[in-house]
Amino acid sequence: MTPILRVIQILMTDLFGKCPLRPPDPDIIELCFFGPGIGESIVLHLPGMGWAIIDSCSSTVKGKIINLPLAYLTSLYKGVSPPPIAFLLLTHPHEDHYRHMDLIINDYPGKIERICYPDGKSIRELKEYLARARGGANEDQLPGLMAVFDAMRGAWDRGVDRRCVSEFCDIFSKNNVTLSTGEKISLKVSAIAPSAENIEAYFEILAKAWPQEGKKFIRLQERDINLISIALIINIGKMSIILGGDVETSNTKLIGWKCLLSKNECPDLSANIVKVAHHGSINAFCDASWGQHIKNKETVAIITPFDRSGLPNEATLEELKKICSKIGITSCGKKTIKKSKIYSKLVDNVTDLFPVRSWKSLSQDAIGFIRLRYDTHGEPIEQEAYGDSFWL
Amino acid sequence: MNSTGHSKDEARTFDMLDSSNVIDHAFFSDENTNTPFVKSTYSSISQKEQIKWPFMNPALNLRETIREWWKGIVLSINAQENSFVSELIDLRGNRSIVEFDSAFITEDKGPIDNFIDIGDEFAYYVVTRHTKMAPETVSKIEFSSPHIWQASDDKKAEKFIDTYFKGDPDFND
Repeated sequence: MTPILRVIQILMTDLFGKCPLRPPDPDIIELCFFGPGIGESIVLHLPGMGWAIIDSCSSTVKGKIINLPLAYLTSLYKGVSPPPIAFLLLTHPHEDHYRHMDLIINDYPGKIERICYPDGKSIRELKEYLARARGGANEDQLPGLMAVFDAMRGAWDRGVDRRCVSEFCDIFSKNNVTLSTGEKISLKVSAIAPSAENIEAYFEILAKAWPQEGKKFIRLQERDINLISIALIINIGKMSIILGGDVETSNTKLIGWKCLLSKNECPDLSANIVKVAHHGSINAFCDASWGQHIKNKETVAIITPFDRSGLPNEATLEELKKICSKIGITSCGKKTIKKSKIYSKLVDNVTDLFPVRSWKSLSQDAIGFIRLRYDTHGEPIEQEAYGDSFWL
Repeated sequence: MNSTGHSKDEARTFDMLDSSNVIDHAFFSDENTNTPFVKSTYSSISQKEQIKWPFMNPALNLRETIREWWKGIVLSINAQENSFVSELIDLRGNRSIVEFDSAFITEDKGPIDNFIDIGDEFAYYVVTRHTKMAPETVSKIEFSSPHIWQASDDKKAEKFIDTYFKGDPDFND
């Protein structure tokens, strides 16, 4: 057992509190949403497929960095051989989605069968841009991402399957999954974003930021990376699930959700469960797509907050309250503590003066998660918010 | 050797230095410093003297002790309010969201977003200055100058890409 996993075992009780750590029955659909205030990750179990992890996030517990999806899966299978992960997917290379994904790739004791990430063209150019920033300008943009790319390269050397994902690409599909009752169902996990238009738009932004001799080296604006975010649709039995990644929309440009809806190939977007796109920002809320999500279904919406930018947005929450049967939020937000409790009196006094206009010290991560378990007919078996997560 | 395992010479060097300060030697080796002044000042003196020189001014006996240190990243800029919001992380990993007055960066009256961008990193620290007068504690902020891309940077980047992404399937597709 690696040192990381030993630490995970020790801190397991603190992390998962009252959550019963039993693996689901093979016929059960499970989604576990982690979102400690910065970052998100979804652990997914589907009959006929097994486990998958979408994105990665971590929290600090008693001074130790814990990768939450890794800790959860290893805790479920404590003492027994861990199951394979059918796919590990990075929706887009944003720190709040890739944070410590290298720990999953390097330390998960079971087999990872496939690693997916956004379309190779956009990632290839981003890699080259980051390498230029590091090699030429000595700037470490998107810190930690190179470690993830390193881990991925190691995984491919070990024979892990690699898949570049864009709109309408299949990630996992299986017809005739036989349940223990003898019933046969079909299963399909496919991407609904990023579109070719979004990838092209991102490409143009990268080209503008490309270093030119004699000119100032331009930092890449992280927000633009949302253009290449993967969103997924999962259809299994009578259930459908949408995991919106950080896909945004625009009133003026044909990007994101609007671009998807404009296409003939756009699948039926009605869903029992929706992971709200981009932490509930107003830029990601698209009336037309939500109109489809809630069609014919009682929709449960899950939001992973992003404290630094004050997400979810109040207006988005108000809209969702009107249309969703349930709204779960994975973190109550970072609590603030008095600066004087962290720093000496001298430092506290100086940082009260010019140039500081306001100072908000954040306490440790608010750790919690929402676990949903459903049968393949769409009947909920468990809808629980653990730790600091809650239902609105 | 003394009790800390250092030779007398080394110990003296450390005593004279403020141990909380770190000098970036890469700065002196950078091509941007190829000015006559730098060449004539540094080329003939030893490495040890190079370390001591920038921080010690015996005439003033000025020395600084860092009380607290944060790495900051600019999250948003409010040009109208002349302020910017940043996230600060201290050495223990404590995070804070702090709004700064932009007059702290420059006295130039131009819009603040001419000088800084969202995502820019900086160092913010509280130091006590030990002078012959009473010590005073102040805060400081340090941004890096924008990097002007040189032809040599292209070569460095190509070399980095060749070694770092060797065998990467994204580059072979």
